[in-house]
Amino acid sequence: MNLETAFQFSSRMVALSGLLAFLITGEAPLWLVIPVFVLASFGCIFPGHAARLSLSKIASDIIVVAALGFSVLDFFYIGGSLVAAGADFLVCLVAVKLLTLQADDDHIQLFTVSFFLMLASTGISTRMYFLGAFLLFFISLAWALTLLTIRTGQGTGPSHAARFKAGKGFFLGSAGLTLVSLLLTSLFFLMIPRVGIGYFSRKGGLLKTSGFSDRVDLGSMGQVLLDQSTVMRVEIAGMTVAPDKPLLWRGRVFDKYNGVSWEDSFKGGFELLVNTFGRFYLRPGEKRFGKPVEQNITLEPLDTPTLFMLYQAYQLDMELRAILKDKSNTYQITYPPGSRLHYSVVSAPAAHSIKDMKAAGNVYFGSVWPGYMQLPDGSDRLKALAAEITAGSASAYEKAARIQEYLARNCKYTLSPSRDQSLSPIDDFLFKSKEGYCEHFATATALMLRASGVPARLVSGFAGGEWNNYGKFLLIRQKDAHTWVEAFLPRYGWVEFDPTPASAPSGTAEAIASLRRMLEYLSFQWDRRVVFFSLWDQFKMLHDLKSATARARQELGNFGSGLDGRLNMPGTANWKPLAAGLGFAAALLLAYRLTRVRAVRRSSRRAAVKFYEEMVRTLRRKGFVRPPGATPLEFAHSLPTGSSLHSPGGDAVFVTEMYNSVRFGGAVIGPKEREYLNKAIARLKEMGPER
Amino acid sequence: MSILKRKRPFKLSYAGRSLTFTPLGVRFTLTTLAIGVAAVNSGSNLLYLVVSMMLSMIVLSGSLSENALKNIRAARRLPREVYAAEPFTVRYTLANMKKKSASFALSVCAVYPGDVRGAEGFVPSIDPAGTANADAEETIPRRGELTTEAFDVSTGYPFGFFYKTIRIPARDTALVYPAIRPIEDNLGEELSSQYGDMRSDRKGQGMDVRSLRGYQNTDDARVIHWKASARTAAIVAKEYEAESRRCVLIVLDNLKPADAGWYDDAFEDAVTLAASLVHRLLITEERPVAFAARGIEIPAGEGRGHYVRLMDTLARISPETSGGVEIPRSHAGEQTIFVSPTSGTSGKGTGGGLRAAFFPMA
Repeated sequence: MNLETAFQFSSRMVALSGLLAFLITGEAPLWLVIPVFVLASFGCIFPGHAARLSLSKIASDIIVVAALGFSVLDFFYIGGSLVAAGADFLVCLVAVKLLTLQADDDHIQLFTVSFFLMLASTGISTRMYFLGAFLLFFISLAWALTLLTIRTGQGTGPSHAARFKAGKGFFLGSAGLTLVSLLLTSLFFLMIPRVGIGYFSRKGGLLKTSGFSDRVDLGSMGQVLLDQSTVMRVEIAGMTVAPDKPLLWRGRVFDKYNGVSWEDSFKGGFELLVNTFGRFYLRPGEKRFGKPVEQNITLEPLDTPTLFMLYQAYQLDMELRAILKDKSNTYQITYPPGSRLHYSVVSAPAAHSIKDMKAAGNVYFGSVWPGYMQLPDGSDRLKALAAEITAGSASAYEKAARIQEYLARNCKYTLSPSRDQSLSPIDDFLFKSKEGYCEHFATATALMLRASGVPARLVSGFAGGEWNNYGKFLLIRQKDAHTWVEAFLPRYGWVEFDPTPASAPSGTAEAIASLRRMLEYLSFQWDRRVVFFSLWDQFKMLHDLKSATARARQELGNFGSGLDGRLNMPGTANWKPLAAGLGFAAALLLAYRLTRVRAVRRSSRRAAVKFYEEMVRTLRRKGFVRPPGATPLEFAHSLPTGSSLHSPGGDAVFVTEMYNSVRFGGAVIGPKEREYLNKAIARLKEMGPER
Repeated sequence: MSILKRKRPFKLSYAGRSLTFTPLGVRFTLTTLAIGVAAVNSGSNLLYLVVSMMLSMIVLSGSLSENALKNIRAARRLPREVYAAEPFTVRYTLANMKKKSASFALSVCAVYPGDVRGAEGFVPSIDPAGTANADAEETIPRRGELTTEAFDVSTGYPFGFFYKTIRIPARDTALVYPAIRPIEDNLGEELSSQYGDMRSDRKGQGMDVRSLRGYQNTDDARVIHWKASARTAAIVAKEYEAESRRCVLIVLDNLKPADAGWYDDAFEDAVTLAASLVHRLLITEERPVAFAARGIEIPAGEGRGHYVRLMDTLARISPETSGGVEIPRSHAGEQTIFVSPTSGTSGKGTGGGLRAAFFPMA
């Protein structure tokens, strides 16, 4: 590919990758970006034809003014986002520049506009795929700027100067260098301190959820159970295989049911917990039952301030000054997050044995909040059913187990249950349709438990999630939204029961599912290592580095002590003979080196003469004879040189100059020079005879 | 000799290298700083990533340009004759002594005393252990010895953010001949009228008929004198006179008067005129030319070798404050042109004037 074609191609690749970065955000108006993308692609594939496309000055001015007007309207009346409106304007500028590429300055302007488009994309989305567009952009920019540098230099010389060809080697080499520079980029990325001031920081769009507000209508969750959007990713310390049963990520708790919806009657009754050196102590002084489980959670920006975690959390690490805790031990931040949240929780899930819980009986000591026993009006039929199911149960646990078993046996799980408007949702579920999803199962369980004298409440959150074997984390999506029940058992307090039967697994092919998991893993790493890299991570990294250095030093010390032992030289004083020996060896080495330098000089002189004589012989065979009056350098300069690379005259000049500098200037022929001389002589030998 | 000097803004020098930022480099650096501020303000790690990439591009730029200039040797070849104020092509040869890596986008130029840089030649790439040539169009404004102190090899590779330059020492002296200008019309006419060819009594290839003789078989048919042949009834051939070229002595007055501020420019004009006369008479008209000035006496001669000798002399000639001009003995009986700087106004407005006087021999 000649220089001009390669440059035109690279220049349009820069624009293409800028547009790609914007497309990846998912916020780009396709009707605008796709045509410009096609235009840039056409320029990449047919750079020669694209160079002939042109737009008149007046037409380009009209487009720019119209695009500016549209962006202003977009910002004030349509989208409301300055970044998105600005990006739309930049797309129009890219289109105009693609059609008016004439001088070098036009190309530089195209690079600048494309760069800002890529930059604007960072403010719109943080998706992993941005990395691809980012790399493509910088690789293309490296190509384009390098070719522009050569093109500019070539333009200054006489027209018959050697021409540059941009082959595959150039493109692959430049791309490789850009990728190598990623190491340097990583170093800078890790080292620049994260001291966000945030005067103009932007709040992103929030993911709509259902089931985490103060009031939840029964049946409102049906739609989100089909939503594949990612809600959070959880790493659990020490967990390397998928959990054997779905874990329940607790969010909100509801106690009051009015027949159609659940409410939180404690709303507003929050306790403010204050951060103590980066840590919140959630349940100080309370007894912990099970083995502590540490969860590292990355929560997407949701429209709810609820924090999700495994049951009985007692420690939370988070970079916030305060959080809120309600009487049901659910936790919230003080406002819905504008961006992703990252926090670590230590929980102790209840791990009581069934035998113990059965033995705990049915008698409650002390009072229980009456709200947990509340039933809506018209629950007689439900009460009768509950009494029938739990008849003869010796403990609260047994009642819960029987209700759970009854529902599993008699009711079917479906996301589209039939609905009889003449009945209440629960009566319809229990006595007519006998089909529903988690909300129906959990509500029915909670109400029947209450009807049979066991305090119960409804919990909303997420259940299970998809285990990612590559990254060893759980990916939780909107479709994993779930409700279950907590029953208050004598002696053990609140114990969770999930009455919803497992749904049928999705029919996705394993290969696709595996690929999806791989992408999810990469996306998770991208978020964890790049998007959420924080000052805290930097401290941790420095701390780890310090620990590693200390360890290495200690191991070195141990090695030294071992050496002492082996050499039978305890104590530092005994190292002196060794130091003296090393010094003597160094002196010997220096003396050898000085002698060697003289020897090398002598041999260089011989080698230079040898090379020169060989060159003269070679040239003579080719028909170039040195005139008697000409000095060696004059003779070399008199040889034809031509404008092509590797001209024989150039080689002869350099062999002669090296001969002169070694013979008369005291220079030395090193291995590098020797190799060059060999190659130069070889080239002269390959040269055709003089015509 | 500051006319070759070029402006080099934002120049940094360190460890035998100099770094000159290009406008693109300045813009890129400022943009990097601006995005760095935006990253700190927003706390967006993607902006930190972009800033990191830009910083690494700057560092990479420094590293690759250093590698491109590493182990580069330079040599130069000038034309045999270099004339002042006349563009000529310099051929630079660059050798890449690196075994494995190529060098890209190298510019090379000569450095003259006073850190004056000559015209740049450009080499797009040199393979490992290879050589490449670069041509540059150079113009030296003044005659005299031109000393090259070094070669500057620079590169904007890879991204053109800045030009890094290394200086390769070189000690090389070339002689720049005085400028050759067309002889002015009136002077040219006088030359033609006064210094035309002289008749000779000898046979030769001139235009005038000297005598008639009998035609010989070896004679060209064009020499037949048809009228005489018709008259004598025998073929008669014409014999032509030989024409001899007259020798011209050019005398350059290089006596510098005391307190003559106008003199230097006028003297240079005089040298230029003398050189132009030498070129016209010796090369164009192929006449023998002798030259004399204070302290200099060059006998008449012909051919390229004599021309080089005269031009070497004129390239080095300088004003004298005393002494007289000796006319070469061999020149006795020939013609003389006397070139002298005067205090009048020259065509160039340099403050001096010029007078050329012709002295035909009796």
